[in-house]
Amino acid sequence: MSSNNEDWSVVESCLDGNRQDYALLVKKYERPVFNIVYRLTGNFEMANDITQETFIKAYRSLRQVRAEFKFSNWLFKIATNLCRDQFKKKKPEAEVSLNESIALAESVIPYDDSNNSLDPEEKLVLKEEQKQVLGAIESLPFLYRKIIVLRYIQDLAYKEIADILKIPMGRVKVQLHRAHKILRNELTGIL
Amino acid sequence: MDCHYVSELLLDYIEDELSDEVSRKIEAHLGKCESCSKEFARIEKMVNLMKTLPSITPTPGITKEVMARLEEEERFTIGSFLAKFKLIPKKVMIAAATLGVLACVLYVTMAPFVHRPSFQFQTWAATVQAVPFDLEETGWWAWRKKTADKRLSPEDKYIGVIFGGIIDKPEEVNFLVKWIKPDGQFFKETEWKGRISAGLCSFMSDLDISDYEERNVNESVLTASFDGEMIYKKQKGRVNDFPGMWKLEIYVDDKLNTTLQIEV
Repeated sequence: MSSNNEDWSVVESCLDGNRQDYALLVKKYERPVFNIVYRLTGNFEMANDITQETFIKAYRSLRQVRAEFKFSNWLFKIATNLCRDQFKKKKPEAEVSLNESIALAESVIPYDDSNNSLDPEEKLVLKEEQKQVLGAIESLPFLYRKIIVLRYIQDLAYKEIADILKIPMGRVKVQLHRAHKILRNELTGIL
Repeated sequence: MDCHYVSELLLDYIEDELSDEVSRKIEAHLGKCESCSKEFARIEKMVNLMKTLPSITPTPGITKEVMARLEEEERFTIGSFLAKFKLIPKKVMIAAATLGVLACVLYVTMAPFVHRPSFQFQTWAATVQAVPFDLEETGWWAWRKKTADKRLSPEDKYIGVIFGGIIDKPEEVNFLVKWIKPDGQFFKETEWKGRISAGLCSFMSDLDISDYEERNVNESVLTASFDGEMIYKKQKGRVNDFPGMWKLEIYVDDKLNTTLQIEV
């Protein structure tokens, strides 16, 4: 059974009244949802709140969701919409938080260090470059940041991004190109 | 292929979005053009840097917190009812809705031929009483958490009015409650205009729910009891700030009907 089919089986079980089964889905997707939200908001606390809100909102809408949609993508859609709402509501605060996150949060937030093959010096260089990339991503307009986060941080295909953002695939490509151009201009120092 | 055209396609090439034929042409061009090769390397490096960004570990306990919130929501009667309602199979819901519509059609068709008793407006003052009530019990605390409204806390006290008994009056009633602070100063008032139905037994809070004045009293009170979001928006004061004996003046059709006192 594919991962998506498994997810929908759990959803069915929840709809049959087994609310506790929902914990399986939360556990499975809390990390990717959190990572998307964190990269979109740049604020650890806010990411925590929005991640929880995503799962609460999803639970309340379980009956409405169509099974042909990939469950994880449906969650990502809710999460990105909640982030968008947050930005509409509190834009100035959010911008401040983003800058803070670049300067401070990255150094203290727990993350997975998967580059064990690198020596300490290479790791240091990579970390510095990634910090600059993150800064550039977080300074992108929200529209482009969404595309970059879904494509590269969540590794989603164009079609999936188009489904999540409810835009044609052609527009995903155009926006990705534009986002790339901005990023390349921002990152001339390391590229 | 010229350099400008190639540079426009480099991202699609890296993303593997091009046909085999176009990809081969790009590879051939990159093999002989240093400038485009450098551009390709830049884009590829940026893509790799983005793809290898570290995954952030979320706060421990998200699952536990989410499940606790869902459980908390379902604890309350109305929340639980609605949650179960959402879980009812669609076919059953459609059948119930169809029956409901049929019943309405029948009622509207037959109403002129059915004898309607003349209602009496009675026992209403006798059963009105002021009561303090608890946020935890009413479920408002859960709504507060949900809406992240920081103006309410579980320590806040509220004064409400319960009324009930045989309360039938087919025509519209103007129902007004004035909250008077222990120092005799006016605190706030809430007014309803609407039709009161039989056997009504509910409460009104010190929170402003006057948005509902156009609706049926029964509906407005019941809705107000559980629709925290609307209540929070309308809150205008804290009972806690004024300890002592409070007075509630209840007016029916602009005439003082009952005065109640309650210690806070």
